Amino acid sequence: MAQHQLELVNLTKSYKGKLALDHFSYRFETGIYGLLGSNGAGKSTLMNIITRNLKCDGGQIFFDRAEAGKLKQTYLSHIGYMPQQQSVYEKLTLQRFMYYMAALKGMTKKQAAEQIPQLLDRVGLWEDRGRYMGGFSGGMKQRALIAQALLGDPDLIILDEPTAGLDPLQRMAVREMIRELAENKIVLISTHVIADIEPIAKEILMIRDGKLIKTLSLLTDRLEGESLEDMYIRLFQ
Amino acid sequence: MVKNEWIKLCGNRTLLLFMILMLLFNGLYYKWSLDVHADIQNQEPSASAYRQFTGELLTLSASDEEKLRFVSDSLTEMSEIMERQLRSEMGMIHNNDAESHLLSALYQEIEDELSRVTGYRDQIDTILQNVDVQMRRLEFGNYGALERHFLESRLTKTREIYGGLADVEPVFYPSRGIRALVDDPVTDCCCLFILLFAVFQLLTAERQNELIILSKTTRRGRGAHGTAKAAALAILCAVVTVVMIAESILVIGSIYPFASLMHPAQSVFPYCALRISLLGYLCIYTLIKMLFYLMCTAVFYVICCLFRKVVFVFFMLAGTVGLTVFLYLSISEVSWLAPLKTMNPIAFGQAGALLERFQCANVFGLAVNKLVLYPCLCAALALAFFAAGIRAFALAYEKHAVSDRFSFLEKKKKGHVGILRHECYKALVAQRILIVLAVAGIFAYALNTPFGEKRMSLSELFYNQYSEEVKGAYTDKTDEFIRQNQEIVTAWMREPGVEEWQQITYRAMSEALTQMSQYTQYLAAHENSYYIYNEGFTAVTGGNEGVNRQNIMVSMVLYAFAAVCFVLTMSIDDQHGENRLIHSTVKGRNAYIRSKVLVGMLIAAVLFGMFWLPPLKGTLRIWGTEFMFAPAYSLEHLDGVWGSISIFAYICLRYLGKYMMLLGIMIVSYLIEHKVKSSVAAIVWVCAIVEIPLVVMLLN
Repeated sequence: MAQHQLELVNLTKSYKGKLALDHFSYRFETGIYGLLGSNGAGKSTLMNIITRNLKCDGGQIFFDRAEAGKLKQTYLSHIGYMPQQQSVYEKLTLQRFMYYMAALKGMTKKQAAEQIPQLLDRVGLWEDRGRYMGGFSGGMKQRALIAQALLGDPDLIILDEPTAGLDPLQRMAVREMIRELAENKIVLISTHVIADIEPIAKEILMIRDGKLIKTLSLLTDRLEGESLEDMYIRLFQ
Repeated sequence: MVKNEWIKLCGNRTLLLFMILMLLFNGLYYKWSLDVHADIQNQEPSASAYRQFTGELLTLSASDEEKLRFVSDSLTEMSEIMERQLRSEMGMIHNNDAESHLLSALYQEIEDELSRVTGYRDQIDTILQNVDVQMRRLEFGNYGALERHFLESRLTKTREIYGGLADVEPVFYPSRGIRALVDDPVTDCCCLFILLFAVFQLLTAERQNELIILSKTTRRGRGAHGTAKAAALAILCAVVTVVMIAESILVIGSIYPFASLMHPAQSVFPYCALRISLLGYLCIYTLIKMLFYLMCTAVFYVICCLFRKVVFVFFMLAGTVGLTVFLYLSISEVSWLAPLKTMNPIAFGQAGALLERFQCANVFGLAVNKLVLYPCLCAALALAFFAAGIRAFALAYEKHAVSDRFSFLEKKKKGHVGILRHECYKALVAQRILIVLAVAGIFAYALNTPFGEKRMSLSELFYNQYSEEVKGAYTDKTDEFIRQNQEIVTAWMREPGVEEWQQITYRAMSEALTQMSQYTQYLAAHENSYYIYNEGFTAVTGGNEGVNRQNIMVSMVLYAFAAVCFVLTMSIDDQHGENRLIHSTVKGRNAYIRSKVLVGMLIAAVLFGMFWLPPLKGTLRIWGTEFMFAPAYSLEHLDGVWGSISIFAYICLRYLGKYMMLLGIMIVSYLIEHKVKSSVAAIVWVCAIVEIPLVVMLLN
């Protein structure tokens, strides 16, 4: 089983003098990681820097010990990203959107034809593939975005609020899907809903004012008796 | 609420930047166009000469009559000198005479200005006499009741107005400055672009960002909100008008200093029907313009309220403006369709024309002064349009569900992973650029007028005939042919008993041969040149002024369509932040941009093919392509063309340049859209950048 590693070293980002990310360093290995933090803590900035949508002011990113800047396009080929905004093309059908994303991910037609039905089936949208996405509900858009993030079997999956707008059953289904996927991948999930990551995350990273204030291994630290929610309230109050 | 909307407008950096750009442009335009050097060809004296001479006249303590005598004497003296020169030099005019011509033109201009002032009383008397004559004619004429009533009413008013102005005492006032200010289309364009941009920002852009949905859920978020927006726009309209006109006055004043503005308006506009000073004239002018701009703003407002999609807003605006301009320019004043010209928004906005003389409109047999009628109509229409816009704004938000009627077909479609194909689909189908191109095709068809045969003068006819004999490679035989024919024509002219019609014919022949001889002199200075008589080549290589002007108009339409197409191509990825998704993929940067550029090039090619190729093909078909591979410098206007490039190559390069211009607009559109992230703002920016220089070119 391939083991992957993502290492962030001293990532710093500021907006007009205000630090959004303050010398953030961490090493992620295969498994699911939850990013917790209040609004404006710097979670989305971190995700945007990892996906290279934002340039950081300082610091480096290493993927499998190679610097992301030097890997250039190869680095992006390892990434599956689901943004926080529901960025879907309203005038494209779901199927066309999936094939478009497959094209952008450099997949072959055969690969796309194999994966797209599987993924759409998995997120429960196979029957809706011929519909324009402008007519989708919020939950459907969310599931479509999860499906596109998984296209191309990426090694590093970054999900920004993946369960927002989903009903309880769908949330459970998505959670299970992520758990299945994470076997040999690094999955970063940013969320406010602790219950969504608590059962599946290997580690929780708590971020405040752009700094990593606490890391928590759910295998060991939870044994101390305090629930994750209580800890969150204690740390962020 | 109005204050909030006003703060939104003032705090909008893009709008402020756009305003500054338009102000700069307006100022520079006046500077370039008015601060002119002497134009020998058009006999236009320089701004400094005019300034100096009028300045000297103003400081003279003589009366206007004395000034007029002085200028008239100077003019007569100058004419005599020039005539003597002409006689002594056997009819040849040299360049050193040009200054005399310019000075003469300046004296003539000042004499006209002085005559207007000194002859004011006579002009009024003439008007009153004409009124009396027409009144008497009316008694015997055969008119319908309504028409008679209108004519009577008009004549009575004319007599009242001009009779009341008989005691006005105008004084000499250099009029170039004030005349340059009034009804300048560039200032109008700049103002209207700013207001259009503001309306877009306040309505369409807010709607695109779904801010209006939010405000509509609040207690005062509908009618009151719409009214506040309209009021803020009205305030902006007033501010823009005053600032733009004040700037124009300042710039013009720096070139042609204004004397006292307390002189009667009749000093510059002798038929002005108001007893006001020039200052009053400028105030009323500004007020009329303000009402006109307000009405236009209201039209923009109602269109932006009624249509949600940028494409439809653009089409409605383009259609409204296009139709208005077309009706105004194409309808004759004596046609039965004349009301569409006279009751046209463009006529309402001609504040200078309204103030220049007393004009009446026939309103059910009653003569109504247009100076009162048009501004009132502007105000009434502005109110009506704003009211309609507010009503549309206050309506419940209706989201048109995306139709899934053909989803069963979509399901059967096989997918593909070609980025270019996907980008083409996104731009052409999803963003409806195909519809834009179809409409552009209709415009291109309507504007396609190849340069054809024209009515020739007699000398042109002979020029054509003689040229047919010598066309081809230029040799000594060409000169020999011209010389021989010149001798023959001279001999014919000297024959006794030549009748007048024969004289006219011989003179035309002589003129044609002289013209040919001038051309061959030019050809003799160039090696391997060809004698070419093909006006089609002249037209398609930019040597025909009329065709060039027409091309500018075609370019204006073409570039507007191009701006919309290119901005829409790019904006599809900015609507909900899809760019973020794209940029995180392996081909979401270089390959994606490459595809966007290719799609842009494809659209540019289609537009180029629709707008530029048919007239080129038509012109060449009419005039033929003989000697197309002759050196380009064989055509006189291509004297500066480098090397031995052929006419064909020159045409190719010229049309390649036109295509490159479209690609330039593509790049500008992409960059601006990427920067402002709003298709509305981007379209207005690009249109302003590419259209206003064309307007200037057209005016000059």
